Amino acid sequence: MASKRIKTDWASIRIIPGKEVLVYSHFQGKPKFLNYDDIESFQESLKRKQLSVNRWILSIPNNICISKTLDLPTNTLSEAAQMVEFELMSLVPIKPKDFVYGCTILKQQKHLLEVLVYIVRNDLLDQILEPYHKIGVYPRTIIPDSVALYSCLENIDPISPILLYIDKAQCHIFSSIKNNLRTYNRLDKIDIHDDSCIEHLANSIINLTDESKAFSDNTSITLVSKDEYKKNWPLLLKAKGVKSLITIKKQAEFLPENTLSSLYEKLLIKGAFNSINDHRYEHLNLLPSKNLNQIKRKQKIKNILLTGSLSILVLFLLWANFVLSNWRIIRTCRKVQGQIAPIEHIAKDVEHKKQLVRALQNQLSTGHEITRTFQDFYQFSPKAITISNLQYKFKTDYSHITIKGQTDSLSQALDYSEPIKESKLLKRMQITNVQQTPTPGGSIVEFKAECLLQDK
Amino acid sequence: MNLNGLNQREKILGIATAIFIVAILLFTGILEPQVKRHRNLQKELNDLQVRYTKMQADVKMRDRINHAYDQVQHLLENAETEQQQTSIFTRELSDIYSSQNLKVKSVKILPSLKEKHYIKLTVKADLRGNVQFFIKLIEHLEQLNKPIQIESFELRAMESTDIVQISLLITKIVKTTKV
Repeated sequence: MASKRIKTDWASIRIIPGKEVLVYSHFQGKPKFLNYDDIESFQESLKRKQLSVNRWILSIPNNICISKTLDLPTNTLSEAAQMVEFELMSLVPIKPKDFVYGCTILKQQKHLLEVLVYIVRNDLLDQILEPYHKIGVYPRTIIPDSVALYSCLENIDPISPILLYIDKAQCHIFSSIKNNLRTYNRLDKIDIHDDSCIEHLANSIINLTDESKAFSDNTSITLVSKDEYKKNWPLLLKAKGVKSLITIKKQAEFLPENTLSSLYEKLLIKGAFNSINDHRYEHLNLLPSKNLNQIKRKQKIKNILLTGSLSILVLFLLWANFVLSNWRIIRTCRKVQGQIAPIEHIAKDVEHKKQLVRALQNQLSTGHEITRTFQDFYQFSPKAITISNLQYKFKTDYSHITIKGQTDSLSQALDYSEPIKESKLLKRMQITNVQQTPTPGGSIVEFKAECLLQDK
Repeated sequence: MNLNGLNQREKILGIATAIFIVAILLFTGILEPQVKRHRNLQKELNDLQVRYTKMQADVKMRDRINHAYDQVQHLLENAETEQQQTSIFTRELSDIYSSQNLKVKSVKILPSLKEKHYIKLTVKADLRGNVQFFIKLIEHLEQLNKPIQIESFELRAMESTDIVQISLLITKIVKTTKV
């Protein structure tokens, strides 16, 4: 085996009785068989991660499967799979907890689906799975050998309704309708020199071609075998009455890879792998529910651990981000402090003086404002106006004056702001309130005025 | 505690609550202190940068400020304590009132405004006297070459006379060696 690491999501596996381990998968988009001379070398390969497979698919011998056909009133296979569960009690005299089942479509008619149900006893299945579990392979999908072989053969020739596989020990005959496996026969101890054996095979084929005629005009037969066995078969079968066209597939056409090990085994694992994404077999998984639950639980734990790890990683990254950011700010702070240090005492002195200068400037900003205000009042107020109250308030932006006074007439009070306008300082004076009060022999008018000193 | 007795909804709620609590604990225990520290450091850096910029500007206008300071520094009177300055200030004002024939009704020393580099003393005085003397008082205060300012005043005329009542609020900026 090459020491190159191989990683894949799906792979099919088979332990061949001679303890050889055969693996098939698509690696980097190319189909590849991996032969391991013994179990130990395969285990070593797994241990060293030279081969890393996420999910395994396995095919099991048909002789441990009970197959039954059922007609169910439905159009979809998923519905049919649910219905099968209720029919099983009548199909096999075994408790439901003691077996596992799977189904595939046989024939679809209007509102009726004929399905083929495979049933396997758990104890038999455990015996099959034991050697795989021992080497650390826990299959995710299990299908019967017949389905795996058919899946491979129909890939070799998808048109022929009758597919034939023959080698020196066995013969497998598949007939299909619209690419759904219809019948499967297996004949053991095939001997090319045994006339009765050939006749029996020919009769089986004739029966199948007769059945196929009912569904399709195409009754061609495709023969798949090792090159050394297949040469004489067409002639022998024709001699025994098989009239259909027999197409022989060369091994190089369907299995270009080097075939040191058994062709049958290779076809099985290749077929099993091909069936992974085949919707016809999505309800055919014969994996016991306890194993499936175990796998699901493992996957769940793996997901939880992965999510937890990712969350912790995110949290750590966030924390690290803040720590790094803080470290960077501290460094910048030190840099700025370093820049401040040499000028600090100068800046402090300047700031101190600046504050004092500003305060003093502000304090002296009024100048002679109030004296000038009094002068302007004297200069511009008419003689009839008497000021009885004057309030002055200094503010940084402007100084504010409020006056209260009296005069004889309303018009004099209201017109008071006119002469005052001539004063540069009191230009913005406004009469805010005027009140006339009658007195013996006349009246007195009291007024209120406000002014913002113009200078500011 | 039997968790198997819980239905799917209760389990989901329980898990969600546990995740929420763990998230809060992790945030408050691990992240939040760093976030707080980050905010404080950011503020500190901003303050330092502002301070540095201000200092740079101060250093740049050092000559101008020194020049302005030299022009006004003689106005500042130095005394050791605030009490001494207040005493000097009130005595100074009292002399001025007396010189202007104004009768002092009350003098109140208000709380002073303590700035970093100076103190602003405030005195409130209620006076009574002829309006002409009051104007002279104002004129005198405004002509003083001291950092004294009339913050506000209120002048109220007495009926049919030249006598007025005045409330004055006068401030003075002083420098003390001990604040």
